[in-house]
Amino acid sequence: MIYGFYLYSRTGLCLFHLELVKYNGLSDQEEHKRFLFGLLRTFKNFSHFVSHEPQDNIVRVISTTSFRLHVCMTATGLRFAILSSLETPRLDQTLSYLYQLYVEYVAKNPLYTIGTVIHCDRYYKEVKRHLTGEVYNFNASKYAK
Amino acid sequence: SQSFCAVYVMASVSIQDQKRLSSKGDTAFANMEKVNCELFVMTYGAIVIQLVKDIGDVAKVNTRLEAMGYNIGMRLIDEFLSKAQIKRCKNFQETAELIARVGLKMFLGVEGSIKSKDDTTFYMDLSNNPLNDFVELPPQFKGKLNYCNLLCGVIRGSLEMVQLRVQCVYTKSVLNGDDCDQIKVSLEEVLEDVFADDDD
Repeated sequence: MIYGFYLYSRTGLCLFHLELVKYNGLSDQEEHKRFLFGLLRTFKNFSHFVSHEPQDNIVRVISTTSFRLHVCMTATGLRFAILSSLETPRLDQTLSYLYQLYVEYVAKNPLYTIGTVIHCDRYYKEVKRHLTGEVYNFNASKYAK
Repeated sequence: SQSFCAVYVMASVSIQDQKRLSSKGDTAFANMEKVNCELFVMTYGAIVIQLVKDIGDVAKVNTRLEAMGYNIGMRLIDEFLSKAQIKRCKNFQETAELIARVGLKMFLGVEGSIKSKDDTTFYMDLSNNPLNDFVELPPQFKGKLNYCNLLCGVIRGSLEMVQLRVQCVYTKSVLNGDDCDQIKVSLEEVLEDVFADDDD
């Protein structure tokens, strides 16, 4: 199941976040978001350093023993990141659909300035609908047997 | 129906790649919402006329059109990347082909063709720019007003969002008597990422 969705700009500002599972408030919310961006950026630099063809090495999924982090970075520097549980399959389609939602409800919104925090109501509703819909499907398959 | 102005064989982008990009452009165009061509073209003309009336000075109108295009380009690039499923370009020539065959096709419905000078400059020819339909420039504006300068701004704005700072100018125009529209794009700088708190 999906724990949360984070959208970062090129400069590291968290433009949008949606938490479906609340954490126990161990650390400050803002720091938590900054850590996540730091992780994404560091991993990208590291992957360039480690690979044989630096241009083509793209980070897609980072897994630990308790969670999975799915990443999609666009050429414009936007990073779409989804934190999920371990049994969640690849979320490339979901991330790509979230990018389309961004284009429809944020990029095309004349009241929104590019690079600032997103306060678009419609975008929030669409993202929540899409992600919570997905969560329901995963849980349903567990009980289907 | 596509019309190719000319097909130039390029050192780094092959004919197969061009065909592949053209079909990609066609698919992307087919999936886009469309608006009536005359409505779009007439509205653009009305904007230009209003700018000329409001500002007066032709050079300032050109700058204003380019600035408007720049703001459009900044938002357009995400739609372009998302709808056409674009991956990274290896060099500037690929970027040029992508803009002409996929980008222009997707948003204007016509393809451009690329003539490249070197690794950092290219010329894009547009043989049937729809924005020029029904337009006739009066003699006092011929050669001075870049009617489609918005396109230059759009290209500049879009490329800046992908870290390429370019300069984009109109070199030939059908409205001035030339055979086709030509835009010259020259790469000035590849921008580096600047992060908020880099000295932790």
